[in-house]
Amino acid sequence: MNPVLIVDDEKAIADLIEITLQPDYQCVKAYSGEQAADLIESRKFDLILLDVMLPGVDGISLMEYIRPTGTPVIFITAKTAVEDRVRGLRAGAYDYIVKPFAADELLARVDGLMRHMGLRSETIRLWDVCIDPRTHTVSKGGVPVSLTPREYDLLMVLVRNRGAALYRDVLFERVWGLDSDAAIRTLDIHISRLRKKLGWSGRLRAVPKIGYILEESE
Amino acid sequence: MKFAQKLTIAILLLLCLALSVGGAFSIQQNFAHALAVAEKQDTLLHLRECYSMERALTKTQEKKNTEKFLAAQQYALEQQAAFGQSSPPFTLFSATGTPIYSNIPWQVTYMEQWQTAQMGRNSGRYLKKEDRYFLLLGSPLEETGENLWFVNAFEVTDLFSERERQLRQYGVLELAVLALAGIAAALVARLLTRPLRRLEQASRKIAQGTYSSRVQISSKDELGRLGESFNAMAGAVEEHMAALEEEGQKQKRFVAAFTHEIKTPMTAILGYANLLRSAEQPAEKRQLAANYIYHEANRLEHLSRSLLALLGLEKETVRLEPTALSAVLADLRRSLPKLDIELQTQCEGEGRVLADRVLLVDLLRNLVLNAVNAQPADGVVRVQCKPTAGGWLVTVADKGRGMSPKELEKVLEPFYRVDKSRARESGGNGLGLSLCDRIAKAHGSALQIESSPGKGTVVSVLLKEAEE
Repeated sequence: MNPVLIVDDEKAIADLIEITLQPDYQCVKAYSGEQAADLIESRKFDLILLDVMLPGVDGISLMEYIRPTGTPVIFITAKTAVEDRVRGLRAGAYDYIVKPFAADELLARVDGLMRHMGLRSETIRLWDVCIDPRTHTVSKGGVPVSLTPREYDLLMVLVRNRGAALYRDVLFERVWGLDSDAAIRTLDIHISRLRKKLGWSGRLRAVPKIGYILEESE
Repeated sequence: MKFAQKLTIAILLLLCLALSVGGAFSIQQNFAHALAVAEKQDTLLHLRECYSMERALTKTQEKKNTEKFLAAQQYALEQQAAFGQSSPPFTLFSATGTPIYSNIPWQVTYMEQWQTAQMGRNSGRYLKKEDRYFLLLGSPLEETGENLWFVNAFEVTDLFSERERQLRQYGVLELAVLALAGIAAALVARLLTRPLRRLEQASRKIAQGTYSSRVQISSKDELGRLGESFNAMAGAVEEHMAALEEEGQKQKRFVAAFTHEIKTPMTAILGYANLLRSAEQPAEKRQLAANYIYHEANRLEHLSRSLLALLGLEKETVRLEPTALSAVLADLRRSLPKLDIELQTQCEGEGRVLADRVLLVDLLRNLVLNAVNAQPADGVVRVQCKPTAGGWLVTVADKGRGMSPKELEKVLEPFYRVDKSRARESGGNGLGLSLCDRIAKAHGSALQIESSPGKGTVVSVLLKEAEE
């Protein structure tokens, strides 16, 4: 697996993207167009996340260097005008993300693109559980497990943030949304159902005063 | 209706009126003359007839009307035999108005004849009976001593029909003339209104957005002048539109730059805050996130402050007071952070200018920091104050990187940075020079920037001298 190249002149944004993509993806950062061009020539990347507005060589011009390598590109842009997005896509970008972006969205798009390009396996494997994001199906030891849409969404949030103790209320907000009428108890019920269905009683743990954590595999 | 048509019709109407009145008048004059001549002749003839009749009647001394009738008939027959058709028909009345003999056509009534006779010897009367016109002339036959009355009827139909014929002929002629004149008038009207049509076309084009449209009218009359002033107006409109467009473009660039400027720290703040709030993070990650949030929020705050200053300067009028330049330079030195380069200040004489001291120091400070960022080759930034004819010229000069003419063009625009990454490292938000320019404008001046790549930059501002 090759690393992901993050090109953004704002160190804060580059670091944020790196933190978001870790630990699933190894990242290399470039803070200018010239630096990025050097890196692209010297080694291979699975994906390039490219800020459109760069000092010196800008994102669109950088596409000239990237196109021969066949590396997929996702544009990161603060410009929301349709013409700017079209210009980015015309220049050969695979997708674009508009600032400010949500971490989940960025990760989902990167995951989707990597699977689509065949650079990552189509399914996510955690112990004996296998998740197929394309069909939203889950199986355990080859036997399909039936999950409700909410249970699936909850599972995906946990999987994307595995190894980190997630706050209960934020977890609830991410799955049920800000405007949900459901009581936060619903979250606990769904967690216990997931534990039962996937046999993760030891791995999907409650953390006192914080919330829940899904342990890292391996 | 088009103006050319109106003009044509007006010309034709006037022509028609003139021709008709003139023609009718001259025909009427001719007719009146002919009629007068005829009347004169007829009057003479009538008098002769009167004498002849008197003589014929005096032959018979009988008082009876039958005798008179026979005499009159005899006379009529003689006349007929002698002169034929041209002998005028007549009527003989008794003193009481009873007709004794008449060979006047029956259409003319006795009453009319009698009235004519009563009117007197020299007054004739014209009568129209069906298609025929008659001139009646009557006189008393005094010689007979019986107070008889004699009336002649002269036919004048020819004169009247001649007038009618002339009128018809003239009418046809006039129609032909009017037709020709109509064609000529239409052509002339088209020619005269051609500048108007051109103006109309040009103004329609302008209304549709083709602001470069102009008219070509070479005549020296009012229309030519109208064309000239129209072109001048179109030029002004075009200029104005171009200025508006430029302003709009500037606005658009400002909004785009502002969006970018604000979205980057926003993204960082939202992203790191989300990281902190969703999961328990290890200490070093927490520290990193909090650090970024703090710095990016600071950046936003700085940006909003600069923007507010920029907008505030636009609206408010700055209060200018006499300020000593030496005090300004001292303030400048104090306000600057510790620099790696040397700052040389020089003031030729004791200068006092009209300025807002705080804003002027701000301006110079920004210029000096820019000069420092340009990394002068000799490690010196010079601030000079020089008296000139227009006031005090304050310059900030460096021998740094300099700028290309293209960069120079945009350098006053908000958020424009010549070197984006370096400017950001030093905390610049791209508003510094815009702010400087605004301050200079508030002082009734403007920034003058001279720069060439590799050689350095000289920025100067001219300040009004304070009167003692």
